[in-house]
Amino acid sequence: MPTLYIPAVLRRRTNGATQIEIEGTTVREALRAADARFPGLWGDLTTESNDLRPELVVAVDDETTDDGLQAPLRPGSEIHIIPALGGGS
Amino acid sequence: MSDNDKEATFRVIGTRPLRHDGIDKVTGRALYGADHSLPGMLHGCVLRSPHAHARILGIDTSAAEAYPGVHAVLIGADLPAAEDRTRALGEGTSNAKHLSDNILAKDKVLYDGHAVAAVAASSAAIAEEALALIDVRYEELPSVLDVRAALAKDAEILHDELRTKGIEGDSGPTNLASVIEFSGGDLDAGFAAATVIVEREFETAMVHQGYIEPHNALAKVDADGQTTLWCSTQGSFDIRQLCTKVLQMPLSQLKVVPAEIGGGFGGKTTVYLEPLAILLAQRTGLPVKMVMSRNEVLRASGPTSGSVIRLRMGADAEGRIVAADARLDYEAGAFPGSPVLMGAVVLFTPYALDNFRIIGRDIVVNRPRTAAYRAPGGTNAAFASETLIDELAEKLGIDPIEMRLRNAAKEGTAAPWGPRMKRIGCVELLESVREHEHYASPLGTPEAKRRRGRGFAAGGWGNAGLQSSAILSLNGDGTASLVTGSPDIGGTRTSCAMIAAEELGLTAEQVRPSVADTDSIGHTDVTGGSRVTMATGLAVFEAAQDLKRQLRERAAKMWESPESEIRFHEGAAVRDDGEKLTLAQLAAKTGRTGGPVVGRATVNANRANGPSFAGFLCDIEIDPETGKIEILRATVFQDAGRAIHPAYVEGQMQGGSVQGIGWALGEEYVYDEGGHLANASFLDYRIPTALDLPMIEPVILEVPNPAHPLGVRGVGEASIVPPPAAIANALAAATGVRIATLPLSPPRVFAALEKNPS
Repeated sequence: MPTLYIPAVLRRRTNGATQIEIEGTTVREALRAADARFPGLWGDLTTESNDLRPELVVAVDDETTDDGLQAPLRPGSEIHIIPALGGGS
Repeated sequence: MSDNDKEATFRVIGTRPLRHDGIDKVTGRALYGADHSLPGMLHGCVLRSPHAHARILGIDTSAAEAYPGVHAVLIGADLPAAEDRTRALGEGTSNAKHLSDNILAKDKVLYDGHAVAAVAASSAAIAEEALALIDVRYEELPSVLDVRAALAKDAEILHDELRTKGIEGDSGPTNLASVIEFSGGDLDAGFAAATVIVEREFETAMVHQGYIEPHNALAKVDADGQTTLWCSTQGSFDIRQLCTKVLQMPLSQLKVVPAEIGGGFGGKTTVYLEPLAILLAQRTGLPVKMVMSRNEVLRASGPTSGSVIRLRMGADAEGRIVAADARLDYEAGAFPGSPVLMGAVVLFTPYALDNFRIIGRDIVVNRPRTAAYRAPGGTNAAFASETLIDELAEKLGIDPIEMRLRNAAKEGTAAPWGPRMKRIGCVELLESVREHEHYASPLGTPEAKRRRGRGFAAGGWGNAGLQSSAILSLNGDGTASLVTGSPDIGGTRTSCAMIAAEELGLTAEQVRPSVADTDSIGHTDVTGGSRVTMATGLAVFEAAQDLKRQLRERAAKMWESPESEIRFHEGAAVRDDGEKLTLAQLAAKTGRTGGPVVGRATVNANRANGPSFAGFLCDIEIDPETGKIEILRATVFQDAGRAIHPAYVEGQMQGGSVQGIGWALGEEYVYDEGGHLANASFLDYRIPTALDLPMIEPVILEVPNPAHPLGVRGVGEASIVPPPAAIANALAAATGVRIATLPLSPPRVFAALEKNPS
């Protein structure tokens, strides 16, 4: 089952849990499942048009992916929702 | 051997050819933004706020509009209403209202120098005179100039509508724009296991990127509304996106032509004059040129954040860091958007930590809106973490490099923000410092009363991937022309040409690179995040593969042989039986084999990105009678992954080090009590010059980036991260005094030594 790591600022939603195991074959399915258990997570992470918030990116199995919510998962996948990190010069 | 470990086969990569744009630049023929002019052109100037914080009660522009030679006057109300929401915009995210309100103030001015009105006139002198005729009625408001004042109870609020993001519930009106947090493990248990705990509060000053070339823009609007903008920018596509967003134009209506750029360092990734020049050109039907003065650059274009960082760290007797707790408060300037997130990322990037908490706070103050600056937020953060690690090592009696090695991040280390790292060069970097002759060399004997010390600090920077495009055209004589969309700041035209040359079997000089406008190449993100040689270089590499694939097809046609029998090797198509067709021979026949051969590629290079680590080792001498620090010797170490053009990698390492030294020793925004910038010139804003610096010896490491076919990592930023901490550590080694505030200017050092004479 995939594991979703909860960003520190959202752990209030998960009663302090830092990671949860959830069903899903895509990041979208996993986040929907997580929201069913911990209401509010979906809204915290997505826009009104149900896309990942522009300031966030998804990392699946330690690889950031540009597929966002469509990123596929395998049964043991690890999902991190992280801030989009920008550069300078 | 993986593809990116094949250094033995490189023929062009790793050499040091002359840059293609070099002669034009050293002979003064290269055209920078302000060198562009058009017939009938008007000149635009900006009226700026004399107040740090004030409500605009009214603006009367009638006298200016009536002034002979004036063609148009703009105020904030002339810009389209913008949406007050954060959306994807340019390289990252941006709030269109904040962007617009910074370009021209609407109901309030938020810092000394905030733009209030713009004039286009037949000459710059007339435009300047007309500015004086604009009557702005202000109601002055109290100002908040630093993070402590901004968060104080009953602090004056900059934006009535601002609420804190990242906290539960409604913050109410506040200057605290957002809170971010990374945490892991058990902080209390970690500190309980510590043998030594150190804690300090650090302060860093607001500093400017200090690019030599001021911001500039020249806009021309055709009768059909099609607009062309020439400007000095790090990213023509981002500038197009930002301008059209602010002015609510279709993207296709604006062509942005990037000029040669006289430095940017992150500061030329946003817009100030550009939308004004376009709007003035639209209003007048004439081209409009605008150029900032140095005073305007310093008062009103993106510096980077000053900061207050509270950091507590604990280590066990073996030197293992067992707990780290940080709070980073960064000045955003007048609008939300400091680089505190990146500061939180950089803070412990070189280390593997089990128990940590990093809280970052983005705080608005009555100072210019901050913009990206080389490793944004990183230098502030490393000043704190690298100083405390040094102090922990000192208290534990462990060599400071050894202390870092015992905690160093390596492949598989989980970053504070979650994912595990791929192959990185942090350990190799620290080992190379320890083995370098400089580290064990004698410090020498100073003159009487003077003291000498040696200091080191490390720093990491994640770099950026983002999108790039490349077009590689084969010329009829077998040479090639390369077009990319990445403005060339640090020699990237040449490094990209070298990648093409390597792949095609040409010399660097046989590939002619150019930087195209937004109508002439596919979308390409900014020259930022140390990304161009890595990401645009990846696009060039892929374009070369595309071109080679087509050349195999052409060779097959010429030989009437199956493609499967043909490979491309060292600049020629080679058939299995040994027959060869050189690039020149293939190029001469393209007209009869299907037409021109053009290799193309577009990439999203996020997956190919890899972090870079740097270290700065310095020997300093302090004169206790003046407090002046002189750097006697400096060595900068950096992992480049693969140094495509070593001289340009060294240039980046030296340039980043010099800017870090500037942060350390002299640079700071100085405001008077009324919130006016008191040192808005290079005479008073103390950037180091060649006279202030020793030769900075660069040591390049090459730990290939496994995600990139050539092993390249970005090299533009990591080297600015460690110098302030290294110099502070050297000061402590020399005097026993640790100063936690930048810059370590003579008055501050003198006062600290007077207070601690031992």
